[in-house]
Amino acid sequence: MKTLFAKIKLGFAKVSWVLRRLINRFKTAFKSGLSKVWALATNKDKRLAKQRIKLDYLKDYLAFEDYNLDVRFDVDVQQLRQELKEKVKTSKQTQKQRDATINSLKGTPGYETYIQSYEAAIKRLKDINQARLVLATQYEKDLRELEANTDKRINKISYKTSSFDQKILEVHEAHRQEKEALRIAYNEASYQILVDHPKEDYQTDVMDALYHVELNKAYKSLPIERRKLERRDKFVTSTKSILQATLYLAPVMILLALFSFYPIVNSFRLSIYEGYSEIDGSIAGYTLFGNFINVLKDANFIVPSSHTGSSALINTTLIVALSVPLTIIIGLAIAVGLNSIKPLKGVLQTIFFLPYVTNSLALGLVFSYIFRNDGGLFNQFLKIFNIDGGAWVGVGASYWKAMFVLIIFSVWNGLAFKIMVFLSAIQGIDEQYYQAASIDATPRFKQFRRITVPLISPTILYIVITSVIGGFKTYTSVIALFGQSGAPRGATYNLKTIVFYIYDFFEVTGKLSEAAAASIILFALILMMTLVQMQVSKKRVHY
Amino acid sequence: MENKNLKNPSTLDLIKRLSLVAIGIDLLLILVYTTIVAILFATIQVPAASADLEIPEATLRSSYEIFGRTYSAATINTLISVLILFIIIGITLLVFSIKHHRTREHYDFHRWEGGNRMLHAILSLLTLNFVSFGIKLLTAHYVFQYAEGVSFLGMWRILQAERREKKEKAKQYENEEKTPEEIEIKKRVRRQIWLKILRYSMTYIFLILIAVFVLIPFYWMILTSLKTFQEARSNTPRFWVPFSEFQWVNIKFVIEQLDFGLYIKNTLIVAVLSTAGTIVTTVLAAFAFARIEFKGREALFSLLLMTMMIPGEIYMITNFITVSNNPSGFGWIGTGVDNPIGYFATMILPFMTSVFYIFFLRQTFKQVPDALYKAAKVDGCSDFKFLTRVMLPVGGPTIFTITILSILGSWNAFVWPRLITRVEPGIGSKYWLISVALREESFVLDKGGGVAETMFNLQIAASAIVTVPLIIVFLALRKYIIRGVGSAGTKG
Repeated sequence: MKTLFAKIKLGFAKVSWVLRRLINRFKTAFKSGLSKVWALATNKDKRLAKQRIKLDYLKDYLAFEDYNLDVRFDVDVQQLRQELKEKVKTSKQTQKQRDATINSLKGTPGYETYIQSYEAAIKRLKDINQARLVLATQYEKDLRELEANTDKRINKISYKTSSFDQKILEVHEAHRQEKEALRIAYNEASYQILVDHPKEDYQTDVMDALYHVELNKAYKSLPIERRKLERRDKFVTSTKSILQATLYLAPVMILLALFSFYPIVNSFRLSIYEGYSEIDGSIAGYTLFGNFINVLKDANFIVPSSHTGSSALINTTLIVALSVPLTIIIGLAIAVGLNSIKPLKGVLQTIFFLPYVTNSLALGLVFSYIFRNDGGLFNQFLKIFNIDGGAWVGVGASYWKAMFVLIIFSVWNGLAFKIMVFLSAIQGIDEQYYQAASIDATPRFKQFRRITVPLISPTILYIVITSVIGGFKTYTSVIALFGQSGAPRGATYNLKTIVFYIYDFFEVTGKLSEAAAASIILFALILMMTLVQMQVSKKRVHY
Repeated sequence: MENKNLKNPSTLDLIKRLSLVAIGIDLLLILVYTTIVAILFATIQVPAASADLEIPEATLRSSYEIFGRTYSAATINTLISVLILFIIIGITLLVFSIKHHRTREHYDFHRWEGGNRMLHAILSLLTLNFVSFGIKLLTAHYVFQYAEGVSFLGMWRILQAERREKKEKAKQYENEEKTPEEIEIKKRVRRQIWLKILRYSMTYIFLILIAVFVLIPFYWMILTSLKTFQEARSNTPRFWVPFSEFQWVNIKFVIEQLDFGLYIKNTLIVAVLSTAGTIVTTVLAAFAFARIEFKGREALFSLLLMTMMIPGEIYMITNFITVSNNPSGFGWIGTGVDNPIGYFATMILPFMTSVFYIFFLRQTFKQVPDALYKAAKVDGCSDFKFLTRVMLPVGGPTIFTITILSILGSWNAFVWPRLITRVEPGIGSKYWLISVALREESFVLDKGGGVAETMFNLQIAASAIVTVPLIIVFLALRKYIIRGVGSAGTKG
């Protein structure tokens, strides 16, 4: 008995451990997912990058680098700066040593003078910084004015004059000279700053310790006026480009707004109305989900009803599930075959691509003629093998025979596009992989499975998604083969698809709200299928 | 004694001039054939009602008077069929020979070229072009003279001599001693060649089977459209009808009596206008998205791309309300008055833009380097000039592909035109597009007493009229179409 209880306890412990592990996994996934989504939504990486740029800028500014001012200093000034840099760099004292130095000086009588001389030195540096900042902004303003003037001068020269090149060269030469003059002037001015603020002697390690304290303070308090200038300039050009973009995009946007964006919004609006009559736009009332429920409950939408025996959802899923894999497999096989032959390639490519350019309706009529009850080409073909075909599309055809014809028609129509896309994808694969495989004497099917399919998997994914979406929207095929009724004559079932139902709601019965609701349901279905496919393909598609 | 034509540049000029003359004569002959076909087609008498087509032998005129001589209907049919066949073969040969003529350099004129010219001569016999046959044989003679210095007989003798040499060499090689390794290698190579042949033949058989599967509906369509009604509805239709029984009267009937000429005109108007609109809007929008940097560009483009995923039915319902005659719509259709502008506006305007084409063209525009734009700006070139002078030529092939795809789309449009022309059947039936007309036009023969049969041959003749022009356009421009669709697929 005791062992039994022990075993039960052990069993419970195991189960609870497994459950706890699962729950933890969900928690961490949720948290990490949340944090990732939050970082994505608040542009965390962009913010961090901007911060880093700011700090780098400050560091460089404080390190007296050349390129901030775009002015080359004189040799003496450069030497001075080098000394300063070395003094800052060679201060390998840690913060503790610096604190110790300060504390050791605190009681001494000369501490105040140290502080004063240090503060004077810091003030000198700050004044130099300030003066240099002012100088730098002034210099940049002058440079910009110069460039604007040069641009104006260039724009004034018409390209139709004969001495156009010469004039351009003259303008460029003048620009260069003026720029050089500016540079020399600002060189002088910046040297003058240093002359105006003469240096005094100071004690190194004390200075260094206190200097770093002030450095840290200054690090956090420097203004960034230069960058404000830049931003204002960007804003100025962007209004001009927004105006220009509006002009170029006006026709597209007007048409799209009228015929694409407004209908999307309007569909949602219509699906909430009840009893909308299009003649005068009057409505009987508002209902939130009533139209959707009407559509889903409607006879023949999801569940086959008694008198028709088939439903739209079943029809559509059958079409998608049967025709899409078939088309893709056959298309892939044909593309691989076409890629490996040379002589008749162009002719075969043209033949395979013919169904793409032809009218689906016209060919549907031809197909319904080929699959005629008596005398159709298909039945005659079957007679060779002594099989009695029976009725395929006409009177007396069974559901599966009619579906067979529809699927053959969909496959026939869809082959062309897929063959083209697969062929161009396979042609883009590097020859080296196949050569390496043939060195190892791999059989050809294994080559196909391990080299071709993974390398064109993005294309296959794209084709699968578009085929499924297209399969859900089948409408013209059914009308082409069976006419307005969607079924062979005198049949008790029908082959209507979801889109067929939308148009039935719309044209035949005039219920616009239900039609809008049905189209939204269709959109939701397509969206769900696409998301599922993208999720499933995450591990199988190699980019 | 050296032949004076051997490697003589003036012979080259003579050859080129002769081939130009041959091309001109081919063209002339094709034009002559076309005019004959047009005259014959115009003289075919079309019965007034489709009932008369049921028993053509009784009601159609069996003999025609042209230029004072009588011909039977069978002869006319045969003549038209044979001449159309000649025209098709002649046009392909003409295009091929023009390309051939343009791409020859002086080093291309060797003995193979002579053989090519002889082949061209024999091919031009297929269109009963005897003059061209003679001229091309003359060209072959001059090519042989230029290359080897001898004419046909001399060429033949040279070839025989070379073949004899090869045989002797092979015999020598056979009589030599071969090492066992050589024999082993030869065996292995032979086996591999057999395997290769097997693999290639299986691939070809598979591909040809599927090609036949793809081609059969086309063949059946063209064949049935030229059959009589009795033939088309019989239980055992034939696989091949002799030329004299090609019923070209079906096509004329469909175009004239069943108003398909009007529908084709409608479709052409819609196609041309909507394609022009598409190109204008697409080029402007693609330039804006590719070159101009404005705030929110990426967001707007993503928004546009998202609308591609939405099924078209959501648009149709609201668009229908927008264009019809109700308080919130434009009132283009459904007013009870026959306004062609309204009907054409509804068929063209919703399809004047397509986000897919904008995306496609933007990719091409992005390939123009930035430096080119800046350089043009320095030289004082405005944006619009840059667009027209630089971007458009660069994107030329893409724009051409977009044109073709857009025309194809309008030709095959079905759902929207049917929707809007069904509102008022009496007026709307004048504005049917051909796809709509295929489904809506009743090809039913009412024999009275509740018995009605569909006239299959007329229905399929209408389908053929809809399909064949597209096939011709496709065969002429297939390089652009295939390239456009393929690249769109891989980049999407």
